[in-house]
Amino acid sequence: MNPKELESELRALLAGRCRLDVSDFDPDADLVRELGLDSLARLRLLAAVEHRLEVRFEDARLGEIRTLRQLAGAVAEAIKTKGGAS
Amino acid sequence: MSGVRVRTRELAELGVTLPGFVNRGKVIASLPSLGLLTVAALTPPDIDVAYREIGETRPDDPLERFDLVGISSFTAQIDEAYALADRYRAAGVPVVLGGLHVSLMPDEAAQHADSIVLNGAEGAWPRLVEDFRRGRLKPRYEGLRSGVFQAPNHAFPRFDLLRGRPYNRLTVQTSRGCPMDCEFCAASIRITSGFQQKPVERVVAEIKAAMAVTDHPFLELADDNTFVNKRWGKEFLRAITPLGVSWFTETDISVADDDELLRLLAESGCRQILVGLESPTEDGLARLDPHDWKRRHCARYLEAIARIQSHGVTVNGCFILGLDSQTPEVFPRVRDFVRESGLLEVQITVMTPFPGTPLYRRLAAEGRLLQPRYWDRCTLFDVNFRPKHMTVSELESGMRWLFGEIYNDAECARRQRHYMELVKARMPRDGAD
Repeated sequence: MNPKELESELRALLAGRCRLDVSDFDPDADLVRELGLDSLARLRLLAAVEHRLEVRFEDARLGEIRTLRQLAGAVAEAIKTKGGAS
Repeated sequence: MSGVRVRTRELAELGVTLPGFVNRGKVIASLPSLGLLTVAALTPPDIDVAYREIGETRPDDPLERFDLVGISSFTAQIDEAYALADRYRAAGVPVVLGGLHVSLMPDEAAQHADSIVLNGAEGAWPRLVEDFRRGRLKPRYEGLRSGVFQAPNHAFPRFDLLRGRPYNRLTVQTSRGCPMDCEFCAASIRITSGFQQKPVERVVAEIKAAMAVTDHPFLELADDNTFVNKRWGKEFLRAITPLGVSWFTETDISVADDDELLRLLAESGCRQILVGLESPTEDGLARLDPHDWKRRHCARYLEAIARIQSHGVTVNGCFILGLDSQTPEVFPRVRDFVRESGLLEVQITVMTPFPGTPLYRRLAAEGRLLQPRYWDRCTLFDVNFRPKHMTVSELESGMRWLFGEIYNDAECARRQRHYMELVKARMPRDGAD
């Protein structure tokens, strides 16, 4: 999955969790403050991404993933870690 | 007036460094006053109404001009409410005070008001407004203690007054009172004659109105125990499921006994229930409520939490430190319980003798209150009484230690991971909720 496909996948998962059009949503905007996800919805989004893409974020980084760009970065990191481990 | 505050310096300094504590504080601090929205609803339509938060009025700013000012506040902020009331009265503007603290301390409140409203506004405010129009405002009005949700007493809160305001949660009330009658409780049970529940269709209408004023609706039910009546609860859950709202409420651990209720809870968008566990051991719960209900249910806490959370509804477990039967052993016990339980969120507070409660009267009679008046320290985090089986210092330092153990980054991440795994276990392959 290239970065563009990844971003598209993440936007699709995000779109199912908020009432706004996320197609041109700023990737650096805060998911909670600017997109209106509550704290549990943010965790459910992370869980959905892990589930869908079969990755696992580091527990210590869960609180740091606040934007779409950070989420994409965390996925890339998790894929890299997974690849290195296999 | 709403918010979270801490007076004890060491705890305040520690608290702002702990992510778990800060997050819950932000949520509580941003709730609007449902009582004032109800007062607005009870005001005749030919009168203009404006809603303000205390934070919008600085002590040095010129006062906004009004014909009549109504102020509601919780205990910890009551002195700020009194100061604002005094300023308006000095400027010749009549002031009405109401809310829980005023209802429990009416003589004190009356010194800062032209009129006070006891209990809820229902049954009192329309009379007060009429008297005000005729220049005959009485010093005291008593609102209804029963039948508040029945026509013609019920008022539909003016959620429209919140439009454009930055609240991240809105509140809707489905009930007043709680049959538990815990000694420490300073909530709506003190202003109601018994447990009262709003008809489901009325709650649904209010939720729709609340959702209409925000782009990101998250509801917090302003109840003390929403699911006392399981039959009403199921009817309510079925009715709100089509609304697609995410919501939070407070209830007791007995919801875990009913799998159908738990399934409906999850389907309706309930994200979290707050449960007053109070203490992790049976002996710590003795005589907390008149029927020893919590003590008798304590042995099932872990199993019940697991069952509720397995449905995708998280539990915010609340513990009270300083209960009469607790010793310093309670601090590590709470930590161990929290770790074992997998609770997603934890609320640690100190036993607080709010004025007007049975606990306040008992501790006052036993000579255990540290000061005669300590309202600004009724924060749930400051110690205002002499504990029975530990010193004040042991209670304060034990609470700080427990905060550090429970609200640090690693523990928050561990609880978040636990929640994510629960969510994933219930997910179809495409990751949809």
